[in-house]
Amino acid sequence: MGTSILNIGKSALAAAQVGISVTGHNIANASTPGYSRQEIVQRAAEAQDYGFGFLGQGTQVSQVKRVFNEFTVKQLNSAQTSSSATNAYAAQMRQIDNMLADSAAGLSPALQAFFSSVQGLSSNPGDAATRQSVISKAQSLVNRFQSLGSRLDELRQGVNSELTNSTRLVTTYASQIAQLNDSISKTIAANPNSLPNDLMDQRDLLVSEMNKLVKTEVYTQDDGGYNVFVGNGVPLVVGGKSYGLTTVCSTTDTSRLEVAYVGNTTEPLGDNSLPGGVIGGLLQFRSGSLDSIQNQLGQIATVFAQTFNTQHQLGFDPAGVAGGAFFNVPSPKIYGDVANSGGATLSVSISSATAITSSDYRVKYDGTNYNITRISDGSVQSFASLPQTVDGLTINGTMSSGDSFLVQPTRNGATLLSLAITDTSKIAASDATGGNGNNRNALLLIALQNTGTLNNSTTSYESAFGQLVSSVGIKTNELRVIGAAEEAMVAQTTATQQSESGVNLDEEATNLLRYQQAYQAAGKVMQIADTLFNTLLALGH
Amino acid sequence: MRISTNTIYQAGISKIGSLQAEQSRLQQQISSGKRILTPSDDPLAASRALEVSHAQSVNAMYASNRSIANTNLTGLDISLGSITELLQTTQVTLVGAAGTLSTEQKNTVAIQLTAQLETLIGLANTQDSAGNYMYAGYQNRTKPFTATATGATYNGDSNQQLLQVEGQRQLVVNAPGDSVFQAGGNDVFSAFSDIITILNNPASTPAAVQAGVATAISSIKTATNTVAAVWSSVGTRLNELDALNDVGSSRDLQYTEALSDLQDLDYAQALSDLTQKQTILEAAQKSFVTITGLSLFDFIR
Repeated sequence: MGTSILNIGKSALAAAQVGISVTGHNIANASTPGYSRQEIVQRAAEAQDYGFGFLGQGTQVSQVKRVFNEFTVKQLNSAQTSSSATNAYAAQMRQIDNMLADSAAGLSPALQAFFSSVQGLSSNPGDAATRQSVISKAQSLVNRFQSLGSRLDELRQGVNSELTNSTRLVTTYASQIAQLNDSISKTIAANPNSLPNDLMDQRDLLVSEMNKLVKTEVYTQDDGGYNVFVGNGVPLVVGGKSYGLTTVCSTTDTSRLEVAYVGNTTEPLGDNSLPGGVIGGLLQFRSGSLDSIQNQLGQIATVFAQTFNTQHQLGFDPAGVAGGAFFNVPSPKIYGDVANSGGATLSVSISSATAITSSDYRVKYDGTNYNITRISDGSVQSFASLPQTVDGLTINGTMSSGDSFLVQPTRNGATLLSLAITDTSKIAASDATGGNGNNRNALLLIALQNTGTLNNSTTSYESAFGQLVSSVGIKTNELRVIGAAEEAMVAQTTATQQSESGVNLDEEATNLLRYQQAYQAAGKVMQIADTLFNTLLALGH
Repeated sequence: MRISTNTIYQAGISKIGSLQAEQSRLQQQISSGKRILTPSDDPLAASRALEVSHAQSVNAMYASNRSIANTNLTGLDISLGSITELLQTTQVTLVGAAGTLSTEQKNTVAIQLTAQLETLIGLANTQDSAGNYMYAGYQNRTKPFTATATGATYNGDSNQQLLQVEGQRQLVVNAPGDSVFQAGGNDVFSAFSDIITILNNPASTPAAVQAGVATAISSIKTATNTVAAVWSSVGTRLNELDALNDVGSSRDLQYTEALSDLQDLDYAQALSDLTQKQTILEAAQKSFVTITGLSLFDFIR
């Protein structure tokens, strides 16, 4: 009997000690990322039948478990991945928004200054200083186009390198998750009752980090391992085996990195198969905004340069020679698919600047027809032969069945624009009549400024730029609003998840007191057992 | 509901953070005086502001063209005034020579007329401030009139130089010499030279002299009328410029007001917002410190 009381005391003492150490562990990890608070599962030890009834044998700790709600975490991850995508998209758009915010650095002042200098030319066409001013203002306008264009190019390169870094991180996370899967399954297999809580927390943290980069789904296996899928069901971790993501050059546009899946082979994944997370946000930014913004700016530059050239070439310089090109208009960028047959060639030239759009085009030959797709709206025109003229572009080439080309008519329009004239005596301000004061052509050049030139002669340079600014503003604003809503959702779900799994220090303080008192009481039980035994021993004296 | 200690800190910090962000934004607005800091703040107003400031600078450009036109036309106005005066003097000289003249008198008149012809050619070769000849058409770097034995030859052309002085208005800012001095086959320089030749010829009969003087008077009268017509049209254009300037400056004012409406900050509102945000921020900071200062551990002895 005496030993049994001592044992009961001992079991209580041990349980209280476990309680204190679990509480200490919670306190120590109160601010550890991904930590779920732990608690002990305690039950009464199996009682013994003494004939007169069952006598309890003290207590035992059956499990230390983490407080973890899979459903809440799923909810949190789903909110988090959209929020990360929107944030990544918004961060890029904000840069364009800020670039356009400074009205002194935008296109308008440079365009305005250039046309003012042409006005000056009209008032004194023979004057050397006036002519020089036209050349230098034209140069600053070209510089402005180039700097806006190259800023967008930088963003494009930034997207490429950010994609590379993010896919590398995702691959690292996947291999770490696979390793943890391994350890966790082994531990559980050895003793299904004792769960490696801290390893499981680490694994869930890795999943949530991966989920910030790309939408991640987790399926728990019977052995406790996680199967991890990203995007629209791309398997990255299966049990102890992991795969990865990487970036590869697009087969149609070699300046563009695409995300690819590294399984047994490396397969490019379409932009649409990777929603969510930083990667999803960047892909969306590039295809949804950057491409069209850069194309629109290029369209303004191309149409401006081409229409100005056309009018300039109708005039005559002081020597009576017909005017030449004033600007060098960049030619459309053409990419042949890497799978094209050897002899495939394509040439594209701008035949009517006012008719060009800001879209990219795909030219594909199916053996019978040349299918020319305007990518912005997906409309297809089919022709039995080349050359053909579509949207102001003359398209010619030799293709075999299956060959395809990507055409970007205006992508580099701003970046590669340059001045064709540096000699002031080549400015064609007059008409065929000639004469030092002849300003006929200068007047017609000025008129271009307020004439509809872009989009089938409906939009002036200035209003096209205004439209670009407002579309950037609208998109950035939209992302800001959506981003704020999603962030609130994340904060709310985080609070819910934390209210279950997070550590509350006051609660731990209470637990400390409770286990301390339990420990003291257990000690008392043992002391009484000792006294009882001593009473027995004293009987012999 | 239990709240994790992390949540208490997180919620406090993120609220304080967003209040500080709002304050910094207000501060930026106040220091720049602009309501719209980036296009995304108000996309429609931002693009409208671009349009308005474009219109405003185009308007300013026309204003500077009008000032150039004004300089040119004022130059013409003064020069045409001098020419008119000279031609009137010539008429007086010729009327004075209408009777029978002695050889000496003929010589005196001839000398007077020769001097007047030279002055007239000088006036017809007037240059503007940029060094361009006013009466040369497009050939404004070439001296338009060179004196000859029979008057003067015209080296310019008949082109009128236009300037864009308003969106829909181009104004002629020169006066080609042939239309001023040689209009309708009446060459004022030949008229001078013809009568001078007659006066200088000792063999000219009094009747021939009288006939010559009469022809010269009629020709100079016609020329005076032509110059007066050009002069008055220059005056009309100067008046039009004044009117256009009035319209231009009132437009400029409208654009400035429109831009201000689109972009400018309501200072009273912004400053009141700033004070309000500051109060809230202080309260948030105080309550954060109070809440996080509470811990059960403090009571465990």
